[in-house]
Amino acid sequence: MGERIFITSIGIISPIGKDGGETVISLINGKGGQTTTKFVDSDLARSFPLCEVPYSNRELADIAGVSEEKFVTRCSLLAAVAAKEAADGAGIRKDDGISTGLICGTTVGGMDRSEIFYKEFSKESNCGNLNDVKCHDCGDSAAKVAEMLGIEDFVTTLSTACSSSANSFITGARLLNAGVVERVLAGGSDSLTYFTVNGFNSLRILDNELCRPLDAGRKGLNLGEAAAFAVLETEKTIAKTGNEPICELTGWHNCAEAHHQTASSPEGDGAYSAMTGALEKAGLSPDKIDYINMHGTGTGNNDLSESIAVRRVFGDALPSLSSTKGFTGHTLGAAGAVEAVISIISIKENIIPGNLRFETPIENSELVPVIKTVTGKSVDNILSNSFGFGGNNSALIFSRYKK
Amino acid sequence: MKVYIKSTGAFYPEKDPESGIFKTPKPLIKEFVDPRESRRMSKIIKSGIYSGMTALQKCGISTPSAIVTGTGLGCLGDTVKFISSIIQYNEENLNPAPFIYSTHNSIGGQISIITGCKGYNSTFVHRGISFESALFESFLMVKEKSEGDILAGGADELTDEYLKITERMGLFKENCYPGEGSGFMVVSGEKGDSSVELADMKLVPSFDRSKVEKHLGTFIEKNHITPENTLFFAPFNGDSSCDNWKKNIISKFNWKKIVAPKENCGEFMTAGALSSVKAAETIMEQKAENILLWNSFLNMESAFIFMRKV
Repeated sequence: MGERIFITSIGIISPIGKDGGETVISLINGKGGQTTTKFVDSDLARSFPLCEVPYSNRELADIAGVSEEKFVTRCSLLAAVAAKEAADGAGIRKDDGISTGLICGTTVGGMDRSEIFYKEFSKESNCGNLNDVKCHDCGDSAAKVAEMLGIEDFVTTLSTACSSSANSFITGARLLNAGVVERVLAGGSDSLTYFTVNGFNSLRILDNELCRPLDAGRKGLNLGEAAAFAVLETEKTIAKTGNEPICELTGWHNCAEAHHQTASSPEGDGAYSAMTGALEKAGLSPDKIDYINMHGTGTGNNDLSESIAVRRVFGDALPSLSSTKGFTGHTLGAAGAVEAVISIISIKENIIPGNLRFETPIENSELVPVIKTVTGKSVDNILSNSFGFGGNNSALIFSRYKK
Repeated sequence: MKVYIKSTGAFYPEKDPESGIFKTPKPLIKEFVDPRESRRMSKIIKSGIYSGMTALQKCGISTPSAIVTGTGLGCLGDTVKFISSIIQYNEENLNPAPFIYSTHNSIGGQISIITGCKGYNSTFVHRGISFESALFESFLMVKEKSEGDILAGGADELTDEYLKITERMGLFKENCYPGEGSGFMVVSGEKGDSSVELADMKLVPSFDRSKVEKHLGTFIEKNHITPENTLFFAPFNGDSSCDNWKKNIISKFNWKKIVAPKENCGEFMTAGALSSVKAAETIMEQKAENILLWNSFLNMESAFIFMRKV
């Protein structure tokens, strides 16, 4: 047994809200985040619904209280907004005497600006504003957020495709267990880009209508953008900070499926191992899980293999479950943290988020998700799944705080 | 629990006599991957597979228990190829292969498929300490006894676009030349035949030179490192604006024996992977008993690694 890992604060900005409070309201009202896009420069935005955060970079900078010119990329501006909310909530201050680490997950980092650069550069190699490409690397957002918050003890960035920011929590827990730092700000950020919209379209897994995760008639995913962070503290740390835990991170597991670069195995082996590993870590039997926040992207392959894996773990005694990607879209590198934060909020607010647009269960697995968000329902243990390209599978378990 | 480096694998670049740039030859991986599979793989993926599989092969491990990789800029070649195709074909009918292989975790994912490793798998992408983040996590995993033999490594690749853009930025100055390559190692809590202990590591995100100096001092003190019998692997890259302040700090600790491993691979975000492989091999070959390695890409983040003879 290692240290107990407590979640003491969260921050989130997604297509359904610019903070935790707005996110809860949207979940309860069943309001999805698909909009007419204003900021993504892609012709595909006319053919496919996208879930855009409805603020310009200037507005994001104002919300976070940072300089747009300094932060440059949308990825780092989104990260700044969510990280600031989480840090403020836990009272993280520079030089407050508590060593702090920052771990950020992302898939394309500063791509939103480098693709602007590249459109010019590809015509003529002396063209393109270098200011647009200098923040291309994935570590840029974490470095900027660390500087904004005065975090200097440990800073790094993870990129394991769509499980990136779930892994931030796992690496964060490891740092706390090893005593490398006393407190960790873990999460992730990704913005919509011309690059990723075209990438997922080339794989033919974008739905041209609003996505229907876990539904038999699902046709693909809607891409989204977001950032989310949580503050992780140990028992010793909360004794210093006086923070009241919202809940506890009790289980986690990361494993490779070793099957295929992009597809999940039909039996859902990777998903199965991630879930059972997390349950084992938490010391919980499957019947103790009250709600599963599914990876549930809306693609044929993921939802089938994930739901088969869920059946293998839980049998006929299924907990409540849903995919919240109908609300936020698939926010890629941010998705793991977005769904972790939604899980944390669910414990705090006593809700079970709904699964938008579900009608018919998938044959073979017959999973029926919670369709409309349930309120006033106490949930003690939540399993959150995140799976990525390269067969990177991760699962996290959040549990109600008990002394 | 002690952490041992069981074996190493690397794919080194060669210095182009005209440009001074350190470029790798074409990695040959047919020993590890069916050519039908590898034909769509880019240079960085092949380079990573070559180094990773070489490290595993050297210590006789067919399936590691975990794979942790680092890359500064990831699969740049495929990234450029895909974005160029979007522009060229106006967002229509694109080949998804370069997009699929452009993800930063491609090397870790591919090695997991080749070796059938279903254990922990992660990829760090934090600039000049990407590899060191991967090695540090592996180090902590051995310490917490959660894994057996962990394959840790780092890789980056050069593209013509990167060279042009960094030239316009003036990133590489004086005798500092860009490079590419990959370095992997197997770390474990079991000694086996290993002769190298990965004794300690420290990552320093700060660019503040006085803080870097303070952290180096603390690291030296904590590990009882003595300059007389410890070889210093310095982060010098040939650019005086990067090297002078670092030389100044090292001289304050009265170091005599200093080498600069980037002389053989150039400067890139995971050059530390090649430096670390070189350090471990230097101890394995009994050319040094203790090595203190400081890596830093240009004037950015720093990492300290202390290795010693078992």
